Amino acid sequence: MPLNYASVDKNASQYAQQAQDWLLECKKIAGQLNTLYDEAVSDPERLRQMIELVQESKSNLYLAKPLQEDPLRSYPAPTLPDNYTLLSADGSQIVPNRHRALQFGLINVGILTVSFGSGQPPEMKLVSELLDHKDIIDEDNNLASEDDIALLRDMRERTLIRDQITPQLTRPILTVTDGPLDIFYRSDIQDKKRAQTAQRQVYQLDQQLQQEGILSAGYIDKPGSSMLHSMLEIYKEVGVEPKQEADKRRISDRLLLGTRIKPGERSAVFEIISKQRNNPLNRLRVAFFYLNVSTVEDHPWLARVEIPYWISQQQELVGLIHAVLFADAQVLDSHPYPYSLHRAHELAVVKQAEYEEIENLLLAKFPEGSEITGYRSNKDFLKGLK
Amino acid sequence: MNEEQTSIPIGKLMRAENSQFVAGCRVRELETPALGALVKVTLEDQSQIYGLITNILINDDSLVRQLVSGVSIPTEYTADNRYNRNLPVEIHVLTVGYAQNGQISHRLPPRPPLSLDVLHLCNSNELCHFTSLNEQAYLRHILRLLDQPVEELLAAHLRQAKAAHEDASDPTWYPLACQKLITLLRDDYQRLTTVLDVLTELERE
Repeated sequence: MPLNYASVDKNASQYAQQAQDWLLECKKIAGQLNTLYDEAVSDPERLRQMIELVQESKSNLYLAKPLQEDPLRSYPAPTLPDNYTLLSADGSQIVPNRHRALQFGLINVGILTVSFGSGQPPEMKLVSELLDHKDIIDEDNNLASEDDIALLRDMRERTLIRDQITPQLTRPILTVTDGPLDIFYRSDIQDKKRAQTAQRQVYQLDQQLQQEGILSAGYIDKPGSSMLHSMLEIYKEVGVEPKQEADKRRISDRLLLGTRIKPGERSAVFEIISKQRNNPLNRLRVAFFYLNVSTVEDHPWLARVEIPYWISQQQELVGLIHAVLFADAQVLDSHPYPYSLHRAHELAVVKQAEYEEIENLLLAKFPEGSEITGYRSNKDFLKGLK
Repeated sequence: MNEEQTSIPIGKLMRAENSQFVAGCRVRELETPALGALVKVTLEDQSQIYGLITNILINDDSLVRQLVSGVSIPTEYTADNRYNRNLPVEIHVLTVGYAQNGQISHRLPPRPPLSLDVLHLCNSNELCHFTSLNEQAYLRHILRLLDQPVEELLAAHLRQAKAAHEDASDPTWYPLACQKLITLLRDDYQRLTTVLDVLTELERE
């Protein structure tokens, strides 16, 4: 029996009630924050100064900072150009598992290049890269974690998508990846230097793209971050209000902005203020806007679109990214999400059967009775029984 | 140039049994196969299995179903689903005979073709040769089909074969084929009437 349903069912109603109560409470706080938002952003210059003041004194920050656009407005998409190129990349990975007979890691990246206006099918590229042994086992013999491999995957997505750009591609060119644009620190990354190096590489890649006038964006579906709430906390903290204890419950930007952005429109552009002790100096400066990909008034669906800061300084480029991503998400209209990213994911996803095939292929390369291959753990073997 | 070289590869075998088989092809390769066309598979021992295309099936998947409900799909994405995605078009084939040591038989082959064997479209010479042997005995295979529009399949096949024979200066083939069908269906008046109806339509073309 896979589950004791009777036992789950016993607590199901109670759980549903708890979840509803939690949502009501969140909406209540969001309502209060909305009033505060109106007040705080009515003078964006003052709010920016408050944030800059805090930036100097605090070492850990992750919040939104308004830029030149009015945060109280919802912005419609401009008309799409007839011809443009959209490159989307997504990756998946095999994380080394000590329970298997052989530990190995693999990164699989799918890239779709769509030349809109050509009428031609998109070009597909799939890069499957078996990781070197030194990438999966460090000098201290620690096996690479899920986050370590994800970092390598994120880096490969960015370098490979860059490699696809040729002078023949129709301009404007937009590259899109799934998830945040910057490679942020993951909690479980063992080699902090490697993470910092990756962040520096992302910065350098963006510098190249900027020189060539190539746009890039990170698309985050159903985002959970609360950068606006954190921004309002600063407003409360630095502002004139009597000192209050900050509410520990975080309200997502999605809940806060849900009713403010009209279907198909976007929020104002904010800058991400992300500060950690180990941040390298040369790090990508990122801005973002929320995009309501829904076409229905009473059912907003916000995605966060992250863009390099230099793009945020040119409103027509922000508008172009807005228009391209909204149009691409409308292709899958009942579940709006960029079609090209979905296809890149479809290309890249590694299934269990493929994992086992690669494992067998590798095992076949070892001499018979080789000690390095060892055996699967008994636990893993028994899990595989049907 | 031998016949194998002039016939066109149109797909690869997915599954098979003695009486029928299914091949898969990509949409790009779909321009040549047509309902009722004579096709063949050459086995490793150089024997050949002949069949008629009885159905061409365009598969879907959950993404295609999702796209169908969309308001508008860019041309590039329609092309992506047709030409890039791994959704083979299925070509269903009814086995109508085989050739061994150069001898063509209109009986079922001793064994079916194997998966990934290449399906070829027969050229006009092969079509004329195969259909004129054994007093068109292969037509009985079409008439044993159930749950399929047999009359439409007959019409499609006879139309192609009639044209090939007429091009080869053989105007007698088509009346003989009609005679054969009347003989095979002499005890099934209802079906015979429908088939004659189709043949009449064909002659009016």
